[in-house]
Amino acid sequence: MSYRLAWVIATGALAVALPAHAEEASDTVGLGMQYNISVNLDFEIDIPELLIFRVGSDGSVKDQIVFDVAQSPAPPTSDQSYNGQPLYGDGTVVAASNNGSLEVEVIANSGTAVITTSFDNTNGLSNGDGNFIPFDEIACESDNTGIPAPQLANVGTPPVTVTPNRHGGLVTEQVANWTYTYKNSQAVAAGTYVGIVTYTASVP
Amino acid sequence: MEGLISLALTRRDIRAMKTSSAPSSQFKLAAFFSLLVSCLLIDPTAEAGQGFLASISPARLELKSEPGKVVRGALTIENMGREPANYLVRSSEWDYTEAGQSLFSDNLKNQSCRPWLRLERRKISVQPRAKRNFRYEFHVPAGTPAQECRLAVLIEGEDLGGVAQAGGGLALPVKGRMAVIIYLSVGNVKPALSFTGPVASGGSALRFANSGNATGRVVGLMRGKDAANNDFDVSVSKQPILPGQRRSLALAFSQPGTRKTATPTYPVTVSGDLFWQYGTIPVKTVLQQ
Repeated sequence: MSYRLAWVIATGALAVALPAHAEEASDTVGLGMQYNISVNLDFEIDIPELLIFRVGSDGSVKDQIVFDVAQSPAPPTSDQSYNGQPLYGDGTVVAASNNGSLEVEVIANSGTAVITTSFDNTNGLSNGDGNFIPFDEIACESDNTGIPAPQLANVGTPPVTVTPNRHGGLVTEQVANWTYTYKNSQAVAAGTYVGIVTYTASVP
Repeated sequence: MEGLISLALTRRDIRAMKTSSAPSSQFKLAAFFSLLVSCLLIDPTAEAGQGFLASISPARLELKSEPGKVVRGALTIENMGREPANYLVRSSEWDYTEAGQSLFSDNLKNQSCRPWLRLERRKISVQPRAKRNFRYEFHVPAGTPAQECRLAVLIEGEDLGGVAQAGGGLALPVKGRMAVIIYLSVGNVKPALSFTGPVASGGSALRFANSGNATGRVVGLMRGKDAANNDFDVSVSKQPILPGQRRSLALAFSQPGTRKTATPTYPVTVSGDLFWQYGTIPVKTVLQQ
């Protein structure tokens, strides 16, 4: 056994022995009273109020939903050109050709989170030439009822309430995929139509 | 993003050139074309509508002050993404309708207290997986009458460019934003909350009214017993009840003594005490589906 190890063992034994000796001494020197010493060990856990919000990617790629409506119409079934049916705006739903589904996530621990929707132009998506497609031509569905997808409308898009789903309804941890489609129910002038949607999360 | 990738290739080429004592003509030619391609691919509009992933703490501020005083504090924003992000911070008018609509407006309304707010900065750069604090101050003017003012601080990603054009179709850039709602009570203002009964249908909500001049909230855990004689713990939503408003607050049912969600069979009898800042509201009612 090395000198250092022996010193450690001896020191430890002394540390164990000293309190016992002190207790014994107090008992004999004193008046037979028992001394009870209590030490409080208080725990304090600080959980900050926070709101976490994700829309789409985490910022490393662009999240722009694109619909390519420039597709060939179905061939006519009679001699009359297209049977008098419109080439576009016939209600055939168009899936997004890029970023058709976005991941949305809300985590909140200080109340019910609400998501509101706003647009850069309340006339709808614009082709920059005075023509618009109303935002309600864009449908959006959620795969999680805990975060319903806002139903887009030029004015007054209803807010959605994110359902608290943890700790007896006091904490929210919800994630969903919102999938966008173009209803294609209006015949509109040619052009590239652009409209920016902003989703705002808050815990009022 | 395409531009960023090609720029990285160019940097790698440059590093290779630096480590090579005598770059071949073939390598120089490849580097030249790589640089040319990267210049073509960098699209100033490519970052438009980028995603959003961040957290803010606290998520809400409930402050008190007096005329002529200053209230100070700080908010912490965390970039939870994998790329550096710039956030723009600004104030906004805010209102919350009885229907649950959060209304934000940049237009300064009458009697707004937004001019009292001073933000440390308007733009904050945060590295990936990092946090930054930014301070705020409310300078309440002397002589301000007792009131509660409400506003929001908006935090959104910096828009780095215009909108990329789609090839003959529709483009819908989507942006994320967070709003920190602020309630600032000046002087002696108080809520006055009362229970007005269950919602007429739909079951799991109670209605409350606020006849005071400040926003109030109710908290507490009630007991519930459903038609199948099952017991529940019943908690109530902490949504705010603004002055002069009536609001339906959703209820959450859980197994007694736990926080595990449970589904009752209606009708459900709910009883217990709820608490708000200045009092207690006894509740005893029956919820119908």
